[in-house]
Amino acid sequence: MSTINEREALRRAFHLADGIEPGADGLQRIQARLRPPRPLALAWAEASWTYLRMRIPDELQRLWEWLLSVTGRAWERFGPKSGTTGGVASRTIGWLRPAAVLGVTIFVVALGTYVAIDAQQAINPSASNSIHSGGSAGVSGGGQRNPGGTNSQGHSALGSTGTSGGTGKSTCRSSGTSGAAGSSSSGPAGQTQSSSPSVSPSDGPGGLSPSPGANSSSSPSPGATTTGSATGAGIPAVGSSSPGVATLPGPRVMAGSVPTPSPSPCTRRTRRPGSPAPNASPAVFSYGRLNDGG
Amino acid sequence: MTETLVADVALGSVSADLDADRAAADTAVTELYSTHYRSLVRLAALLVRDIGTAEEVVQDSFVAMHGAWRRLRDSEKALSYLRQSVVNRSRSVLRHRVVVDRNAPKPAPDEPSAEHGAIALVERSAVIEALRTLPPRQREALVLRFYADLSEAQIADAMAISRGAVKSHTARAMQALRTVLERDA
Repeated sequence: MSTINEREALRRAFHLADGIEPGADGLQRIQARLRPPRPLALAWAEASWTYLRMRIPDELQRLWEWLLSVTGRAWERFGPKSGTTGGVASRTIGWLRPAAVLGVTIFVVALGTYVAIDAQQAINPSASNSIHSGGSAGVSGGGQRNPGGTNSQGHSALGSTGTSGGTGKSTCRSSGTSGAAGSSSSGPAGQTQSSSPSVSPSDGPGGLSPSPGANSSSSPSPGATTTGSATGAGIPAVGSSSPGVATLPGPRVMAGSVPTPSPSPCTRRTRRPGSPAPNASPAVFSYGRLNDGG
Repeated sequence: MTETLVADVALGSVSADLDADRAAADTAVTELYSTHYRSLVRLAALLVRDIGTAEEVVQDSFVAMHGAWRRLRDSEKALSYLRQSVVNRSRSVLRHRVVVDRNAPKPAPDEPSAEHGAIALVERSAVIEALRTLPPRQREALVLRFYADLSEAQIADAMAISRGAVKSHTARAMQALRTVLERDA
């Protein structure tokens, strides 16, 4: 074999390799290797997500099977007996058992929820206060809540005083602060005279200093009704009534009854040491009168 | 203050240079890939006798060339670098394969693929079969000379040997090949 023939034979043999075709994604693979490596945290996150994605269907399947088994066992235990023979009445009685179980379950859940909420409030009372007062400090002088607002001195500004006619009088009027419960009184017959039972003591400076005789109640005309409901909120109890004449808040007084001084803090504070105390509880009196009348 | 500004400007220029070099390297990789990737893979396949491994070898060489682009800065040099890298890595693969074949058990025979068919066609050639009996350096010299059609200088550059060594390897390889072919015939 001559040298030229050998070389030609080698070339032909080597050029059989021209049939080899590399993959088409060579450039992409090179470029992928030329990119900077991904951050380790991202790689971990992707690996974790892949792991979770593989595990979640299995876990859901297991959870579903567990729920089915628990439900089946509960149904076998508490469900109506299928073997019960009888009429409609016995079948109805058979359903009483699961119904009772359901009711007890609902009761227990509700009780647990209530206890949990109550425990939360006991643990964090400030949160409950803020809940009840709409976010502001709603505690007034005596520690009572003041849904209407906050007085800087802690006196309640609850209620309003509405006067109609000339006999409606404001109660617990103070010179500086309006510590009395708002009351609305109506003097003329047939008009409603209402006052709030939520009376807060006013200890402010220059609090209650009415004249000695003015702490008693006014003389409502027959037919006037004093109710214990508050009318309005947030308006200071400064009315157009003359000072010292108070319409006592508290129990309802029916027409024809003789109103007695109320044991409200206003009247108690304005009572002189020597003055006679009220001889009966207004509530008892009122209710007695109500009962008598009713 | 002035020094800081000068340092900032210098850092900015360095960063800009790096970005420009990277962009140029990316461009060079793309161009060399489109023109020489196939021939380099075939060259590597003739050396390592496996297309997948040959592709990996060539891709590794491209990555290495991308990293060395600041030093090369020329397509001809880059191609020479690629050839040299392919030859060296093929040699490393063969060296590693010898160790693996010595220790690893025989794998189960797989279904022959199209790539396997192509390489099998090459393998069926008596010349290629005789080529396997040659030492690696002589085989490289023959492949670079008669498949890649490189000059002695280019072969010397690719094999990182002298031109005289190229001549010697080529002559000895031809003599050994002739002996093997005459014996088989």
